[in-house]
Parts: sequence; structure tokens; C-alpha cells
Amino acid sequence: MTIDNLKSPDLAAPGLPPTAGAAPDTVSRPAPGTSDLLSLDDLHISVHHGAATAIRGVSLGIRRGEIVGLVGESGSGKTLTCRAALGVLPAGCTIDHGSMTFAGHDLTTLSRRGWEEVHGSHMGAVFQDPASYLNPTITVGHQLAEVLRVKLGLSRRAAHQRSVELLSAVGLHQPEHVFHQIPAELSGGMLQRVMIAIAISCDPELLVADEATTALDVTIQAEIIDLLRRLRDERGLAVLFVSHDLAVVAELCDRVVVFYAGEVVESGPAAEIIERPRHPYTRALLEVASVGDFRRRELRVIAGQPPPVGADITGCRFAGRCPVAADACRTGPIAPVTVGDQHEVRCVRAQEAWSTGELAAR
Amino acid sequence: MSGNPPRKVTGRSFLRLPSARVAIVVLLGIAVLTVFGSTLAPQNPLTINANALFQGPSAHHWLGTDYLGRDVLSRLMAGTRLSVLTALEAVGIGLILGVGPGIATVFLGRWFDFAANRLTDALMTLPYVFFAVAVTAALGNGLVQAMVPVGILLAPFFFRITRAATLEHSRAQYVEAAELMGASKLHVVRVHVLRKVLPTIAVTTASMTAAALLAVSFLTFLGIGVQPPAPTWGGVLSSDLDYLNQAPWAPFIPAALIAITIGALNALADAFRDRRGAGALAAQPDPIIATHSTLEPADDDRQSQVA
Amino acid sequence: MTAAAPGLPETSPPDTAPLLAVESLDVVLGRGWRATQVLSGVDLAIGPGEIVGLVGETGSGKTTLARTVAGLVSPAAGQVVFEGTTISALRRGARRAERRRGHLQLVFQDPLRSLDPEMTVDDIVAEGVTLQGQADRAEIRRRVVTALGQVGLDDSVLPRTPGQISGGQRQRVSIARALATEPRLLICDEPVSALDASNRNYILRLLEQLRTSLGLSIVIISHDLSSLAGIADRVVVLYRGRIVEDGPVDQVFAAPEHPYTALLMASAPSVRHDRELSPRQLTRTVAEAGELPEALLAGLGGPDACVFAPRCAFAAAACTVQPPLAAAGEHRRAACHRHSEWLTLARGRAARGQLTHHRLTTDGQLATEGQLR
Repeated sequence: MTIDNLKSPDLAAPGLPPTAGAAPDTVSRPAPGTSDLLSLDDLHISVHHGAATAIRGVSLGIRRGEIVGLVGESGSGKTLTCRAALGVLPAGCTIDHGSMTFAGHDLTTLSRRGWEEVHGSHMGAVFQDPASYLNPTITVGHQLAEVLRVKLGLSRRAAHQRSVELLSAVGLHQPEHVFHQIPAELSGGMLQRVMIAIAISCDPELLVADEATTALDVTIQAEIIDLLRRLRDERGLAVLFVSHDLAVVAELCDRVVVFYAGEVVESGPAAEIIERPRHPYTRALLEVASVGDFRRRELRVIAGQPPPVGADITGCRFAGRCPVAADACRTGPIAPVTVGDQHEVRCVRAQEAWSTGELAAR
Repeated sequence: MSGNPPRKVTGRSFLRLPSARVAIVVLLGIAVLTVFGSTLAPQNPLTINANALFQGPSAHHWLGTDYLGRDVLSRLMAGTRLSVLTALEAVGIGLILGVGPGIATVFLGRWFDFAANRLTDALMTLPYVFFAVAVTAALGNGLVQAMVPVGILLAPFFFRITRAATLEHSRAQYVEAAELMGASKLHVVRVHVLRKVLPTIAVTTASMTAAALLAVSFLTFLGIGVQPPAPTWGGVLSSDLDYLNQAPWAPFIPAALIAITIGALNALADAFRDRRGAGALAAQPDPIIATHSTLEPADDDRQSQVA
Repeated sequence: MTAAAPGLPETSPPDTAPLLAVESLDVVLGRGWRATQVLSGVDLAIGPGEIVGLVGETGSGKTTLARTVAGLVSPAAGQVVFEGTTISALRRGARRAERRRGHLQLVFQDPLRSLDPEMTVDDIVAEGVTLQGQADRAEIRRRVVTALGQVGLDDSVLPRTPGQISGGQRQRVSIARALATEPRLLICDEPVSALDASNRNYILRLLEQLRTSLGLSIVIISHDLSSLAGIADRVVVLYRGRIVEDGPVDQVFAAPEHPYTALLMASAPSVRHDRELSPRQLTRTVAEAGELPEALLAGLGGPDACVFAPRCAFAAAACTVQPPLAAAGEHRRAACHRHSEWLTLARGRAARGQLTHHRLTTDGQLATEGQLR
């Protein structure tokens, strides 16, 4: 695995302010794989012009070359968190508290020019419906080449050539032919590959994939997951993968961050969380998630519904649906507890063991 | 059927727009003049006063006098009725001739649609002025007669816009669902399509009224359909232009009146169209913040009933 | 032809006339040079009280099949017979009358589009019954409340519009609308694709319960198997307009007869990592295609070849001709020349150790599947 083709952000680059206090000549290059590439710390985000706090105390980190999965029901805050990290929060949303850093640079105070620099060159993104992000009247190749010419200043010919290379790199057969096709002529899976090509075209260190496979057929979804993994292996690309489907996250991700009602309730290595989930909500998610052996399938349901966005709840926000909630869960804010190597749980009963039968629906 | 269309939202938010408020005030004023113009006029619009020709605005004559010494303000106020009513007459004709076929054509099959479209194309090529001249030559000179061809020539616009809106709504999946349950075309129009097309028709009516008013002004300006000395907006403008040397300020007054009224109508149409669109958008759940429109948790304690 | 469905009060005898019979259906969409054959020779039978899963990816023709059965599309050849009537031959008035009977209902994929956004839930659910024209207002209201109750919704949703209720509730309203006319057959087009796992399971359980309590037959159309695993009695797999496999769901999952079925199973994401095969073992890579002789490759891509041949890892010379949908066991059919061999070959490929995927362990090292266990 070669990751020495990664660019390290240059402190002298316009628009990227250095972290306060760091002297320019003592910048420590983050060693691959040990410290965070993107780090969100105690983030609080309010929506609707301050009417409701949608994200409370969200902390997560992603290292170079790591694939981190954000999983949770819709409305749980995972998409909003991604958008904050990308600097594309919807109108009316503000970051009330907390910090976001990317390779040591503070993102919360980044200027518009700073974000323009970050987008594409350091962070790429793909979303759920690729067709709506592409101009339907222009060939996909030209849309890809346009990015290269604008961001990297390549000539027309160089951009064309690089585009074809990129289309091939994302697994499209006959990339030269695909270059000249308009979005309507391509299937959903192919379009998503094109979007991924656009997202990685300027060699970012991080790719944010927000429900990127949700709208795709299952066979195509498997291929895209394979592609993301391959991109990580070949380019050291870190991926922030958001999905409501725990099974997909389990397939792809090294680490999992579980969201519920605007909070992170559990985060840790994927293997560990799948084998031994500590938070009742995570356990419930596992119960309902798809299993490979269809014969063994029982249809479980998580009873109840999550609280409305920004609801004011004392104590654990899952307590209303939790089958093992106790009085201690409702008295005050629940702090995350470390239960393993980089495995944190926001639950007062995390250390206890309880039977699977207590959880999920009757 | 207990229907409950959420029109309240659009009504309220529409009035919040300042341009809409101004437009409504202006049009209310015009409406009052249409009904009571003659009685409200400060002086008799027909009284000739040879001693007071081409006077500028004064305390006695707020907008001055014309080439026969008649009070301009009174003439315009009295002339409002004829101008506005005949404009509405034309719009009415256009509405009746255009909207019905516009809705029906979507459901009556390809041949009807083809024929209707070609007829529309033909009508849209006719210039209304010549058509109006032809009709008044045949039927006699009167504004009422002259506006009939204007109405006929407005019908194609109503037809096309209504047809487009109806087409759009008739392709909705809920229409298909209704057809699968055995709905007839009539049922589909009555239950699903009509309610949604009405706002578009309302907007079109406002715009077409503006166009008809312009047509009236132009026709009366040309002298078609005018029975002198009855005042009309276009007639006042025309005679003002004849005497430009003596009273260069004069044409601006009726022109401004025409322009303001037309502007108000168009502003009303715009505001209604914008607000209706914004209202519909606002009714949708925000995809990022609140909840994803389709990926949502099911609701409440009833779940436990499913064994 | 109808497998005994678990949970039914009584077993339907094998010679009962099927509720729905699709016979040799060919459907062509588009006109002139743009015409494409979307369905070819589809044969299907649904018995009373059966839940049948119809699986296929985008372009397989599954939605077209649903629409043809519903009468929105006319077949180029073949017919659709429902309760003894050839409904594919009905037109206009007769078709409308048949639809008004309400015995066959369609549940669409996206309730945001299939429910009129300006109508209340009350009116939406009542529409089918109202169209029947026989019930008075009180009876209509009774049927609406009953239908809503069957999907687990109470009267509080009656005055609301689709935009004012949650996504899961909308899908249930869509189902309630179909139930109000007391149908015998429900065709659900991707009923759970837009829902998260918990809601998906809830709706599936709901459908199963409807089958048990009302004796409904249900066809669930989906692009992946997890949407019907657990409640389907039979599964029918469509690929490029042809049925490639069908049979009782347990048997098909235990030992698929067609490589595409296995591909669907292998592609499904899982938290348990307990799949036997991976997609890589079932599909032909570009490199592997390069190893095949030119003539064979051309033949496999030709118009007469098996529809799956271009992707299939096991395509051989015989596969240059489309295999017929033939019996492959009791109550099972498969359209594959090599249906008894390829599974063994696939297991061989798996055993030869094609790595499935990598993952980083906590100290940042690459690990294989085996190391993580």
C-alpha cells in the first residue's frame, strides 16, 4: 500500500489559516495512520436560525487511509455532521460550539476562499442521487474535465487524458466511450462512478460519501463498495461513509460511529462493535440489520420513534425507547465511557452485560 | 367528500409581499372607479369650456383640462368603466373559449389535441387590430363588438397555458393510481387535476387582463369602437397626442394611468405565482434538517400490535 | 405449482386454479427503431394466499411486469389471466369495470408521488371504494377506518395530508388505500426500498400478517433479496426481461440454480459475514474475458445468447444459445445450461482462496478476513 503520494497541506497556501500558536517552520507532518486527518470535537450545531439544536457534542476523528462509517436513522444528525465538515451547511444552521480541524487547520473559521481551496483538493464528496448533480446536457467527460481545468489548470488535452484515466480508475469499461456520453445514457451505478471520479480528480485526502449507495441496486452497491475499498488501498484515500444501513457500513468500514438523535452514542472499531455492541441502540440496529444467510432471518423492529430534532431531553436521548433504561439514565447528561481501545459508548450501563432477548422488539 | 385544500398558506404569505399589497390597493381603486367613476368624478366629463383650454394642473382641475376645456381627471375617471369592463369582457371570452378545451384536450385523445393545437397556432398569428377593424366594419362601430375578436385571440393563450398545466398534473403517479382503481377521466379531472390547475388559470387571467387592457387602450387610441364624446383612456391619450405642441405634458397622464394599472395586474400575477410556488416548497419537509422525506422512522405505539 | 405457504390456515391443493396467471408474456416498449423488448416469454402463476417475491435489478423488467399485469401496458404477446378473466385483453369500459372491482391492487414505490399531496388521508384511502359507487358515506367511512386499522394507523391521520405524516406512515396509507377495496391480490412495487431497516421489517411483517388474516396473495417486487427474505414463500428472479430462476424460497437460498441468483445473494451486505460466495467468484472480469477465444466471446455477447452470459463466470460454448426455463427440481425452474455444475465450480474458486476484502485493524495494518475473526 503506497500512501506517499498524499499531499500535505501547505501552511503557506492562501486561505488556510494555521492553527493558533504553531510556528511555520515546526509544522509536524501527521504520520500516516496515527493522528487524525479530520477531527470534530464537541460539535454543537443549531438549525432553523437557532430554533433547535440538532447536533450535540459530536466528536469523531478519521485518520488517513481509514474508512469510517456514520450510521443512524434519518434525522439522527449524521448528514448534518458531514455537511458541517464539508462547509456546506444549509441556510439557518450555525455551529454554536466545538471545533473542526482538517490536517491541523481550523475549519470553523475558514473563509470562502479557504473552502474553495479545500473542496476538491483536500476533501471530495459524493451524494445519493448522482443524476441530480450532473448537467444533463453536457457529456460526463466534459464535466469531469472541467473540474480538472478549473482546479488544476490543466490544458484541454491534458484534462481529457486525465479524465479518461480517472474514468478507468473508477472501474468504467471503455472509458473513452463513456467520456462522450451524457448522463441520461448511463445507468445509476455508472453515474455514481463518474461522481466518484469527479470527487477524487484533484487527489483529495478525504472522500465524504453521504448515502452514496442507498439508491443503487444491490449488485451495483457491492461493486461501489469494492471500488471505495480499492481507492483506499491504492491511493490512501480516507472515506467518511454515511449510511442508514448498518450492514453496508459493516462491510466496508474500519471504524463505526453510531448516531442517535443528534449525538454519537457509540464509536469504535467496526469488528468490535459488530461482535460486541455496547449501546442498546447499536444492539437494536444489529438485530434489525440484514443478514447474509436469508434463511436465518427474523424480522425485528425497533419500537417507538426518535425524539423530534432539537428536543430538550434530560439524560439519555434513547431512554424513551430503551428496554433497559434505568433512573440513572434520565437524571443528567451522559458522558462517553471508554470501554475498549478507541471504543467509546455513551451509556451508563455500557459495562454491564445483558441478554440479547431484552433488546429489539417482541 | 371532506376535502381540505391547504390554500391558507398561500393566501397569507402572498399578501406579505409588498408588491402584492400595492398592486391590490391600486386595483381596488380602479375597481371603485369602474363602478362609481362617473358619480365620483368632480366635474362633468363632457362639459366643454372654451375659456379653459390646455390648462395645467390646478386646484380646480387637478389634472388640468384638455383641448376642449374638459376636466381631464373627470374624463379619466368616467372613462375607466368602459375601458376596464370591455377588457374584462375580452378576458371572459378568452377564458371560456380557452380553459375548457385546454383541460379537455389532454383527455380527448391525440386527434382532438392535434386539431386544437393547429387552430391555436392559426389564431395566434392573427393581429388583433386588423381583426377588430374587420369586426367593427361588419358589426358596427362599438367597443363591445371590438373586444370580441380580442377575446377570441386571447383564447389561445388560455388554451396553451391550461393545457400545459393539465398535462403536467395528469402525468402524476397519483393519477395513474386513480386510473388503476377504475377512475374515469372525468373523475381524474374533477378530483385531482382541476384544483391544481386553478392557480395557474388565476395567474394567467391577471396577465391576460393586462394584455386586454392594453388592447382596449390601443383600439380606442386608434378610434376603433369609440363613440365620441364618451371618454376612454386610449381616446384621451390619442387626442392628447394630437395637441402635443400646446400641452406637451398631457399624454403622460393617461399613459401613466394605463401603465400603472397594467403594472399592478402583472405584479399581482407575479406575486401570486411566486408565492404559490414558494408555499408549495415550504410545505415539503426539509431533506437535511428535519427528516429525509422517505427514509423515516415509522410511528408510535401501534407498532407493537404487529406480532 | 403453488408451494404450501407456512402460516396459512390450510394448504392450497396443487390443482387449484391460480389467482393470477401470466402466460408467455412478451412486452415491447417504445416504437419503431427505439423499440426494446422488455419482457420475453414470462410465465408466472400466483395462488391464493401466496407471497411471491419478484427480484431483479434495474432494467430487469420487474416494474414493467407489474404494470402489464395492472393493465397500464399492453403485451405484444401472451396474456394475463386474473380470476379466470383475461384482463390483458380488456379495453376501456370493461377494463374500468374490472378495475373497479378492486380485487387486484397495486402499491407503488414512492408514496410521495403516488398519493395526491393535496388530498387528506381520508379521501385518499376512500377513493377506491368511492369509485365502486356502491357504498354510502357511512359505509365508506367504515371501510376507510378498517383499512387504516389493518395497517396500524388510527383516526388521527384522517384529516392530514401526505406531507403532514411521516414516511413510514405514508407507505402504510398507500397500503391502506389498496386494502380498502378488499382485494385478493396485492402487487407491491419496491414497498420497502426507501425505508430504513427497522421500518422495512415492520412493513414486511405487516404484509405477512395481512396474508394470514385476510388470505391475501402478495407479490413483492424488489431489487434485492433482503426485502423479501423472511416472508416470501416463493421467489422469482428476473434478469433482462426473462425469468432465470424460480422456486420455494428456502430451497433457492440454500442452493441456487442460477448464477445470477447467487450473485444477488453474494452482493447483499451483511453484518455477519456469513455468505458462502462473493460477487467476484460469480462474475467474469475483463481479464478473464481476455482469456476466452474471440469467437466464443462474440457468441456470448450475441442476441441469441443467454441473457446473463456477458457477466457470467461460468459461460461456456452452450451458453451462446438462450437456455429455456426448465424444471430443476420439484416446483423449481431455472434457465441455465450448467445449472447443476456451476455451484461446484464456484465453491472451488472460493476454496482456491480469492481474498474477499481487506480491512484495517486498529493499529492501521491491513488484515484479511481470516485475521479479523
